[in-house]
Amino acid sequence: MRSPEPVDTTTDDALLARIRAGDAVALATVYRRHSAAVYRFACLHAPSRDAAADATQETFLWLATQSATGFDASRSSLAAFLCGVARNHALRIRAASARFDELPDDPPSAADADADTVSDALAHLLARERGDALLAALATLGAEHREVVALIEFEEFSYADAAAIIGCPLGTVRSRLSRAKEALRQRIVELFPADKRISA
Amino acid sequence: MNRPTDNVADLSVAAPPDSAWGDAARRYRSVEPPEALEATLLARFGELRANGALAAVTPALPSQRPPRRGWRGLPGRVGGWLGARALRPHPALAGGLSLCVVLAFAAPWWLPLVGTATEQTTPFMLVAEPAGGRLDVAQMVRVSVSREAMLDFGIPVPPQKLQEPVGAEMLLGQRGELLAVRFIEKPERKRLFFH
Repeated sequence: MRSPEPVDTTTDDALLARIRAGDAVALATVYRRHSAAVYRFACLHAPSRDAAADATQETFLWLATQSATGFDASRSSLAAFLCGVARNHALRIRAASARFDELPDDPPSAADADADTVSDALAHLLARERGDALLAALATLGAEHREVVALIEFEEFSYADAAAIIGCPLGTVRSRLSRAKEALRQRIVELFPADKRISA
Repeated sequence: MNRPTDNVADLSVAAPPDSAWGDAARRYRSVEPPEALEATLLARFGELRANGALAAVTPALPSQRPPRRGWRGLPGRVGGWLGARALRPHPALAGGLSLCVVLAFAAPWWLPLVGTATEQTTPFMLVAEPAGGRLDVAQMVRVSVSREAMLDFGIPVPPQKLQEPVGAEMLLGQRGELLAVRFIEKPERKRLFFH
């Protein structure tokens, strides 16, 4: 019988110090703790899954090579801090790739135009779950609404952490979440008018 | 959910039921990064460590500087006597002044005033697109090449000068690939004395 994997209880601060001293094991530990949340959040903003993986990698490399990252454990968790860094990397990649977008062969249809606001990466990730009305509706929301729902409802960050990640006041996070939920309800009704269970 | 109840956000809308939220959250959190990503990250980390890039950014411990002696310590002592920062400019002002000095020497605008000819350059000519379609890191290298290389870019060169050297600035990508190049014609030095 396989014995359970020992839990590493080293604090993030101690691991950060070891990373800066060149400890690859510490970097691997931090990566395994937080990479999933960072990758998922990068998927919300990056133009593709590959770009989200690039943003995730750049985030952890940036953490390892910067002597002063500005991380303050008293203000936010390391996971929240890394999500904020990944957001910047993903947005930078999106902006860079937008400059090299090729013209489409065919004129975009109305459905394509509507899908411009949908994150391709998230839509792909959730393609298997199209039956789920909530996730399908979430994928059609704007980025600013999508990220607050993902951070607070799915990743279970606090409002303060979400505000730190996005870089906006706490009240803005609350109002965006409120609007996102309202938009979700409307989208669900539009997409699945027969699904009274969720839209109720 | 480990977050506190938010009356503003929670009471304003008819949110989907908790079961739907829970199911969506489980599906969302089931997404994991590619398995190969960790190995790639650790490999790049190892490269940086081998190149000394990690040591270069490690903050230096503050050291106790010995007190300045002689005339070089005079401004600090005068500043101390005045009880103000009269001789220690604000960091922003010091930075601005430093930038002006650097720009003045980097772009010697004053050269035409003293009659010195500046070098002539061609525009940058694209050689290859950066890998991945984006350029995050690049470096400029200044080399001397044979004028024969100018023919590849359609620049006419007299046959008798084909083997003469000419300056060139090469823009290299992250992996050292040549992205763009421009040629630099240095001015001929004026002879001050005739033999």
